[in-house]
Amino acid sequence: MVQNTKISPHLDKNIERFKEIYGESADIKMKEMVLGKDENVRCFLAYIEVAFASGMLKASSIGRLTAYLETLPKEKINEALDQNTMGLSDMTLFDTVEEAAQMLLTGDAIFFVDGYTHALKIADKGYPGMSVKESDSEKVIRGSNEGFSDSIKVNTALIRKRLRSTRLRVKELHCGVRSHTNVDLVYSEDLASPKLLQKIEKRLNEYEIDGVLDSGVIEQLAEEKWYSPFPQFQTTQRPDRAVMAILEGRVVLLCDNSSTALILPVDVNSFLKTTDDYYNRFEVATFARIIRYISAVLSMTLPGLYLAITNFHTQILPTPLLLSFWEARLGVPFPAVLEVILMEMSFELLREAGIRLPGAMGNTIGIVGGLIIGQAAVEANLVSPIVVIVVAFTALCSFAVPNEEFAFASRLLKFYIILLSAWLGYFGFMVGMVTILIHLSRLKSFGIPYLMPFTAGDLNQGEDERDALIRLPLKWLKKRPVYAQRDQRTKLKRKE
Amino acid sequence: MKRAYLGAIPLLAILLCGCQANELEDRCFPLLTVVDHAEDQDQIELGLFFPTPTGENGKEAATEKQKAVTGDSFEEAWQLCAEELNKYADYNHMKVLLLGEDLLKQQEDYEEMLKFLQGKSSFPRNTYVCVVPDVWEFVDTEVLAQDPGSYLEEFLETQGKNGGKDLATLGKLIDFMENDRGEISIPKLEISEDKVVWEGSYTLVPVEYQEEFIEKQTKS
Amino acid sequence: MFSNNDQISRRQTFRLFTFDLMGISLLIVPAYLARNSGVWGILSIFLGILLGLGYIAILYWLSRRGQGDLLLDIQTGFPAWARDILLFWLVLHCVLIAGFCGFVFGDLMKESLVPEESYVLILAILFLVAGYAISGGIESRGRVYEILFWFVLIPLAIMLFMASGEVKSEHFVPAENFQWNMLFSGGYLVFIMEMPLFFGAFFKKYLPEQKKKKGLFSCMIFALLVSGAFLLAEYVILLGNFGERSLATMPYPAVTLMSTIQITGGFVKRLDALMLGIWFFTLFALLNLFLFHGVEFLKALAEPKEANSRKKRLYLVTILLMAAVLALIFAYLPETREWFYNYIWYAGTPLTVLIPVIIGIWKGRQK
Repeated sequence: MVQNTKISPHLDKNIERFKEIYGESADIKMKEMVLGKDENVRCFLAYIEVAFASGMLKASSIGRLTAYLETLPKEKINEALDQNTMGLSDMTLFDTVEEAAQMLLTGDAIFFVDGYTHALKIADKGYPGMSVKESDSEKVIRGSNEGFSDSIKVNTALIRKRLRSTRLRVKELHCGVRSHTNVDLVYSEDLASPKLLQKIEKRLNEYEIDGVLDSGVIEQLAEEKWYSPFPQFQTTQRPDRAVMAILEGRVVLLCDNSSTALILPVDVNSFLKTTDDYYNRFEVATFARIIRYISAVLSMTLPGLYLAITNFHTQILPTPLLLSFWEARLGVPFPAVLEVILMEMSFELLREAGIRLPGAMGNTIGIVGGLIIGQAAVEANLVSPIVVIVVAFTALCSFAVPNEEFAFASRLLKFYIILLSAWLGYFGFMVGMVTILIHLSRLKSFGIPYLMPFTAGDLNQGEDERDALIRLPLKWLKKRPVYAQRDQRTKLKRKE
Repeated sequence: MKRAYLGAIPLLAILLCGCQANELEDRCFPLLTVVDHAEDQDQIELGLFFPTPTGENGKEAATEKQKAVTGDSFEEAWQLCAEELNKYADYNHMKVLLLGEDLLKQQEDYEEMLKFLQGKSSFPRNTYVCVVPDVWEFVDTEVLAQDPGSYLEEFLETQGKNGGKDLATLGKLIDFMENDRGEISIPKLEISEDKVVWEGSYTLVPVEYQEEFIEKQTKS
Repeated sequence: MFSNNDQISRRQTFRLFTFDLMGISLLIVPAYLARNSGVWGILSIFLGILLGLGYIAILYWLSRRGQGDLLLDIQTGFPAWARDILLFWLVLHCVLIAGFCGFVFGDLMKESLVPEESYVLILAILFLVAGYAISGGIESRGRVYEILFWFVLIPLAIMLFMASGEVKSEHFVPAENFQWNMLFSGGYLVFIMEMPLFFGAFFKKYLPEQKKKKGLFSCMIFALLVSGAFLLAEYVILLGNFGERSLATMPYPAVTLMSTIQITGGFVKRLDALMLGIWFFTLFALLNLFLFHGVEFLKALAEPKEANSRKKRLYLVTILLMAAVLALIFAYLPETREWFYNYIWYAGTPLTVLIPVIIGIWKGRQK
């Protein structure tokens, strides 16, 4: 049962309850002090050791507070605290000891004064965290290099820096029964649909969980079809990407201690767009986008197609090429499907190892794995060179997909297509593709069909299709996509 | 749940075996088929030519093996051939079907062969068809020692494109047999001075128009 | 915002109907037409399209006289016994055609792609995937075919264009003199293949309210014209390539045509196996159409008063099993195909014309 102990004018009672809540924790520092002009005002300061700068520095807020209180007589202290005459910009008052104790965990200091029936939260440097850095997973050739950090406050500021609109709203929620993680919904009030916001909040409140340590936990709890390999939230570490989404009428979800923001709703096109598509000219952007779409398809289908063609439908290949494949296969001890699966698993292993290894070693693994192991396997006749080429090209295609989660879905489904193609040739391949297509057609992200804008594009008079496979010139992209409220669809027009 | 896992393992094994798939290395790819009528035995002779792997040094060109069987009918010869081959014959890349003159004179055997190939659909319809006086003498020559299928295909295509000559394909012959109208010419090839030459063509005409055709040819 | 409202757009409607109409017609009609009508089959196709347009006019007339949804018309304003008979026939009709479609689909896949695989396995996989597709409702079907539309039509058009170079004019000389029964039987055959139009009478509820009135029928007309144009082009090219008698002997002439197209100088030589994707998706659409409506009719028959049935899965499984068994029967007992052809020719198709007319007259009198 949650207690609500009102703050007593007697400091001892407050201290007793506070210590009861926290018990013996070495990192929670509690200091009693005597302030006031006549040195007759007892005070109590609690803070987390590393999160709090030295309280005695005159520059810090608590330092200024205590210095100010030292100049006041006892009878004026309560009034000064009520009216904030010391001019502290970030000070919050609490009425219960439990509230105050909980707020200590945000990294700020808690201050009790004998005879004052509120506790004060004084902001300070806060928990240690990484500063703004470049995004590791979303590199662009043109555009900002800033990435989100682990601090939700910094991330919100990065968004505000780029979107200086009074309509930008940040709604704070708390998730995690024990972690009390701050989660912010960032959206533009006039663009995002109120129904969408309601849906999001409802989803976030559907579960109670101990701790939310990353936005990925929220993503998994809030998604509609947990079994789908396709992500139903878009992730980004780039503030400009997040701002672009807000301007489209979508909602960005920031989670404290996570440098990955979630964007929703989402569609398949969102995973294959990058921010520099809009910073580059339309020919460049269109070409890059077509390459990405083809890569996304090939990363899922190429090994399966290879197996279907070589094991079942050799008539597709020209004779010299077929004979070359045939000669390459001679002496290989494994069936083709096992060969492909073994090579694919080897590449997955290399990829995982490369992520876990630091810096220079991660680069080396690429050379060791790709060149040496691959070459050795071919020379030992364990695999045919064609399979190495097919698998390597497939891996390259998956790297071309900008969104890691979407690329992972392709990589997973690749094995499904491989098994079907090895079993039933091109028939199995088509069965695999049609089942994936049916699955995608049934997928929705907060009510938006996943296959937008390729389906239901006429709902926005075909505007969304102008920025799909082909990105038309920026001057022609005058409307926001279907996420935005109907009366706010115009985003570009010529000045009169 | 454990039973589901136990069931999944053999299922996976079956899937990984590829079920009915024939691996590339378990196949042979005949590029040339020769069919003739052996007069002395009154049987159909069938031979296949397919490439073998290049030599170890990679510089030797691929040589070809041949397989010749005889049977009372084309279908029988075909089945015997399939039994004697130690690999699965993949006919998808068949380039040329070489017929002996004697076979063309045996209307029944010729049509039986076409009907069998029509029903079987193993040979591509684009397989070129040509006629030679004696198939075994023809393929024994030096010029066709290596990859006769590809050589003949190239020869026929060059003659067809540059020479403006009509080429016959298996599909056209089957269509002609079914439509029973018009006429169709099959190239006749011979070896002259160690080279393959286009000697003329055999023209096939439906039975009811044969007399008219012969009369026309005589007059011209 | 979007929701699961079981509605599709006009574009999706048009594309669905196009796929349904092309489903089996491009595959088997040319051979039947060559057998029936020879070169005169070209005129039969025009006649078939005209008959199809007339049929759409009948359905439009029915929609004005009734409630716009034939299922609703059957369920209301008819005595229970008449309603049950009609619905029973509709279920049977859908299952029969779905079974035949499944048989053709499985046979094509087996003959062309996996000849050494078990027919039963191929059929089982096809029906399982069809069941998965149908369980997503009309929205899922609409979206899938909206995406596949250009992926199917463009390769088909390219293939026909490439094959047009091999057309020989001598093949257009008719083997037999013109006879009226050739024209009419051929036209009727083409009209039979336009049977998916019948389901336009049940389609009103799937379109958004403001677009219902004329949107549905203009989609159907356009789909009929597009599929008719493809059928005409294909038939002319097949005739020109093979000749009418040879064409009549081919079970799947379009597939044979694709095998003759060779691509020189590239990474691929023949695309016939890959182009079978065209028929995979069109036959899949047609199979789904009949299974989907079969489930709807069975639900209406079993639970006439239930708006949202909880037994949808049961009905789906029932229809799938029935159609799959029929497909096996058609495959292993060839004589049953003759019975099916007779049913479609003499009973099934005429009933799909007569029933809307009778109901339309009945509803008009009621008003």
